[in-house]
Amino acid sequence: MVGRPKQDENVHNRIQLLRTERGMSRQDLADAVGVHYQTIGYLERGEYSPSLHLALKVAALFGLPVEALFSLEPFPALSAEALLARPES
Amino acid sequence: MATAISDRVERWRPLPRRRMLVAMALTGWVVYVVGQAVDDPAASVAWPLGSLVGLLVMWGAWGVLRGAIRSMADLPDERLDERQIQVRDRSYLHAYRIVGGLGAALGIVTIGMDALDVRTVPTDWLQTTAFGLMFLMMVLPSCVVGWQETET
Repeated sequence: MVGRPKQDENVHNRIQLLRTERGMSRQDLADAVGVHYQTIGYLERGEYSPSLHLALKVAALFGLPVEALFSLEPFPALSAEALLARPES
Repeated sequence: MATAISDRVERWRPLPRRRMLVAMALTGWVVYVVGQAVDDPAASVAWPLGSLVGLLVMWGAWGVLRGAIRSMADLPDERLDERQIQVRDRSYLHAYRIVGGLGAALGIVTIGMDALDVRTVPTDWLQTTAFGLMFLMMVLPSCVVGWQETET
């Protein structure tokens, strides 16, 4: 609960999606970025906003730019993204 | 990080159980302070004995609570991650405010009583207050973490 971001300070993220996509457990991810596994849970639930350092470490681990993982606005649903990304025939 | 801390107290990790430990620790503290404040061995040994029991309850509950929160309130930065450091620091801020406020209030009452010649504050009462505040400062950070954190 402590350090929980205020409603208008929420940082949305896709950590859970990417983690499960890559078959990683919370513990695996936590070990890779050097935090406690519960901190990953807090991050995924949006109950904790990471430091810039941690955000960059997570982004580097997934090989993605940090803005692909974290956003001040909610991420669009995957189905909507897939439709937008579909090449026109 | 705090992962090295023993998991023997796993069953005390759920929030309702942690809150029970917090209630036990603080009740023990209150019993200790009251027992010391009204200590009158000539009348009965119940007060000093009750005070001692209160102290032991506080100490025991605090010990289990520390395990249940992985000693998050007591570990140095090197053993915690960035979120845990925030949790620890915030718990100390709350504890400081509570103990500071309580100490200031007691100080005002004590000085006021002396200044108004209502009653001279006995030395052992001051001793009780000092030890009581020290014990509270010791257990309060863990109590704050135990009470507030959804997951430990």
